[in-house]
Amino acid sequence: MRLYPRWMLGLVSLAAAAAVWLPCVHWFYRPSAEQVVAERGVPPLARGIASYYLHVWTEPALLQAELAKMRSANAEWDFMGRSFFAWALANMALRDPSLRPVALETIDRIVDATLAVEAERGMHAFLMPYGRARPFVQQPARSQFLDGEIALMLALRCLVEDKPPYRAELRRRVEVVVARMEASPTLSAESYPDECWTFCNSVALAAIRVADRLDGTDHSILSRRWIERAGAKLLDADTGLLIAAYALDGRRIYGPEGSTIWLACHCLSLIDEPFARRQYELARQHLAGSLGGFGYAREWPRGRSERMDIDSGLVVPGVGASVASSGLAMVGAATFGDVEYLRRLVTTAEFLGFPVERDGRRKYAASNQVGDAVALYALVAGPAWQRVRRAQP
Amino acid sequence: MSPTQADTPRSRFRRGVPVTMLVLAGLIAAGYGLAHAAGLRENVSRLFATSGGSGDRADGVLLGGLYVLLHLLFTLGMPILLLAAGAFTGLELLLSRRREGPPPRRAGSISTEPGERTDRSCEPSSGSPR
Repeated sequence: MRLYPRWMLGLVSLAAAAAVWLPCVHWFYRPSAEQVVAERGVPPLARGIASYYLHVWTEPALLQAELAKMRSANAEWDFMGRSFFAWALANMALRDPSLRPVALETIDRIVDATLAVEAERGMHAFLMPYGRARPFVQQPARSQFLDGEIALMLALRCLVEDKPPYRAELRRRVEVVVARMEASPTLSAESYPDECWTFCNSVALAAIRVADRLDGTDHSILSRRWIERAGAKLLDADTGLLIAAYALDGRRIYGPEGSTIWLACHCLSLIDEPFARRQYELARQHLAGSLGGFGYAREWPRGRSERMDIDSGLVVPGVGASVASSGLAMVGAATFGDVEYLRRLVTTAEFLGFPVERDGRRKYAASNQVGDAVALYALVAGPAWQRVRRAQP
Repeated sequence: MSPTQADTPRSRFRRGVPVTMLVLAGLIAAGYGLAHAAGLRENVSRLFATSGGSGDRADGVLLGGLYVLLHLLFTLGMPILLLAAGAFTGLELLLSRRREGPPPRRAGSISTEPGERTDRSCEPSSGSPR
């Protein structure tokens, strides 16, 4: 008689094999530090992603197809894909002067196309349908989402190389943004009717800071007041994290969200580095995770479960990993030199993002234009902020 | 099968090889290879609804789902099956040797009754140099 049945041996063997293999899988996808971080030049992974989207922006038929795909899913994604790609290109141009001509040409194409859509169809061309559901509180109606990101596109373009028409448009837009923020009880302007987003207002503050660097103006008092107001009114009581959205009078709409906080930390690092770093550390504590060497970020702090939405993207049940939060966490990790977490996040992207590489052009099949642009920005961001900081008093 | 045939090391090894695990691993590798060659990887964006577009038909979503499943099976399942097959074979060999007990005595060998010592080197020496 057999001492152990075969099926039992089989189960023991499978369990032992799984215990050996699963902790090792991430090593096959883990990038080296040099692939994701470079003091100078563009990291190889970023070069591949940039090549694909530079190709897209030079092929009108391909571009129209990509933009149509984005718009049919979410008009915001179309807009954000443009913004992140333009910001990334500006940083790439500062990293590698040989890329400057093609980067500037493509940024200009993106800016012109975006301003043309805004001029022809208004801000709602890039907003979700609920932007029309009721009137904006501040009149005339404008969206901080568009104004902030367009201003940052213009500012970073001019930081690489000045272009007078863009400088004029930047000044005009910054004046509007500043006036609306000053007139708001929270010092924040609406992105949607009576809905202010930390994400959009942080981007706007960064754009104002870069514009100050370019024009020699000084809006540091507004920035400082915004940080003080945020520290007093916009922090979540349980986690200490900035809440994601609030009404114009400061009433909380959404609590802390990964899809907001990581980029907010990145932008606020230009305004108040210690405050931004503290927010990043809290976000790491409450939202970051790692499973078997694969990094991820949650959309909501542990213990808080909310429904998946357009901002969170897909949320993995049980783990709570959010596609959007994980992508934007790369930006936070890169900003604060958290190389280990950045490598873990990229490891996950390499494994579950399904990269497709052809002729040196890379995109992630599980992602889209905005997701790829966020990853690209995370891998190249840095030089623009450094240049602005160098000029700080 | 006669007891003599069943007890050869080769037959013990053959009995110990989990053919099902190896066949499954082979099928997964073949399926993933075919899916990859057929370009199903591009359909993954449809599965996650990250691209939108009118072309996101149900068959595209299904193909994307099939690719993700095969990808996970290939990267996680197949190596586990191969490692488990190796572990299984090793365990079977180990346990079959234990079941069989110590090797049979050769003709003319010294009796090994319980308690009887055969290791001469350990026997107390009658003529100690000391």
